[in-house]
Amino acid sequence: MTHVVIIGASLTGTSCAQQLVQSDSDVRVTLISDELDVAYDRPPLSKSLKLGAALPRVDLDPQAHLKSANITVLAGAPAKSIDIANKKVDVDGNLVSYDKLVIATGARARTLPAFEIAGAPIVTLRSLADAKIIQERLESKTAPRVGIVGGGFIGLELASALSESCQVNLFEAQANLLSRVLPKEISGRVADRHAEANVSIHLSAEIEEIEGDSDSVRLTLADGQNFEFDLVVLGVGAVPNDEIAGQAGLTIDNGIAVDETLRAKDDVYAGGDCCSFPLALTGSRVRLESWRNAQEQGLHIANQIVSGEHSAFDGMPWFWSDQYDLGLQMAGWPNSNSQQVIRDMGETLLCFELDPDSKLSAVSGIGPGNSVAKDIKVCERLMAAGRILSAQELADPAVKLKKLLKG
Amino acid sequence: MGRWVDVCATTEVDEEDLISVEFEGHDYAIYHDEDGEFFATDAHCTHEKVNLCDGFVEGEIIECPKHNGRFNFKTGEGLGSPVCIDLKTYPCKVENERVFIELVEV
Repeated sequence: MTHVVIIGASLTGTSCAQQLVQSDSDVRVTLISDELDVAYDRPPLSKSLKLGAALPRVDLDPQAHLKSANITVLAGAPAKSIDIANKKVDVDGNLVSYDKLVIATGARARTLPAFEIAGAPIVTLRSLADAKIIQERLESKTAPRVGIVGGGFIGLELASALSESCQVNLFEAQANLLSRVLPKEISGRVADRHAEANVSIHLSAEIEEIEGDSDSVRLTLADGQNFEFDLVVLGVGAVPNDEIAGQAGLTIDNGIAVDETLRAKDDVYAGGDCCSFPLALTGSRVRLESWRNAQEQGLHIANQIVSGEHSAFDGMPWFWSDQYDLGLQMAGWPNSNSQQVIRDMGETLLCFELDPDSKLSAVSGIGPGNSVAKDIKVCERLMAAGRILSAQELADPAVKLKKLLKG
Repeated sequence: MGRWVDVCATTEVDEEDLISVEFEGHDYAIYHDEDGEFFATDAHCTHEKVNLCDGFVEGEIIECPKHNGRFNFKTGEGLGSPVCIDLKTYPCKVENERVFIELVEV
């Protein structure tokens, strides 16, 4: 019987464990989590956090596969070190031997030294426990004032979720929201929607002074504006949890460096937010913080362990965000030489990145609900097939994208 | 025996696509396949209750617009993670260019 030890019980670890026990009865899994609560989905934490409501806990294991006899879950038990030569993991002082190791330690929210003020209500959002702290703090105030630092997806989603019950100010250092990942045609619509919901977005914001005590946090901007908040949430990115892998001698390069099969070494795999891997689409090494990537890499590792055969991971980068009634989706990986082509269909907008050789390298879209999902999916197929496309057809809403796939 | 309910016109559903229709507070997905046949299932993905009407149809597969869950819409079968529960299907027929589905009272 093969014993697979998985470090991390979020999406990658959970998907991997479920797939292993569903496909092979001759495998035993030990799933290790430093959190007490395991196998919950993280996207709802920023997208659906409401005051006066239950915490948005979505179970990643509704069929209770993790309760199967072949899985042991060690919750609230941090993995302290890995001994690669002897194939053992130190779990809170106990040595656990493995035949195959899967590192799925994810990432943690980045913090900023200037915001480390003891006792002041300054937090980050990554876990269900973090969401609970935010909710309880804001529920204790009558007209809660929230400051969000960082105009990335976590900050914007949280602003949208809290806009009905709180006064929200959001600070972004860049001149546009999401400028590294989205064209300004799309981020402009995001900004407009937040303004409509009375969320104050401060672009090119330079925070000059931060003061805080147990009661509130005061921010001063370089232009002299002052703010006082009951809670400040930092949404300034994430850093991979790669320390124990690095200490074990595995290569670290923007996360745990794995090969195209997601192996860091023989019998050692890493997947999800904690690893960097060569992207099949471009060959370049990337680390993705993406729901679908985390899930697909967990499954890919499990499938290789079950089959005993190695194969390259060829997933397509894909991201989504929900804010208010708007859904954003992105797929592919933009090339710095690409040309932007906009398809404006009124309520929905698509932006294509067309390579110099007229192939699609990335696409992003915004619209009500999931209205852009079909078009984004067709674009994924166009990218995977390497179709030669014309900017004119892509820009023309009368040309069905599905036709281009067949044509 | 159930009752046959008129849910939409055949022209409302593009080929290789689907729409969501509501009847008595329940959402149904109506599919039009490449061969011109119509099929019906529950409209919500069994995984996280996302409406499948924005999903992508290819052959006899519907893919959820959010989490990549895939189902065979002719049989309702869930096709691997993250889908654990099959999708409920309903008998479907076309008469005078209208699509009917059969609902069985419980």
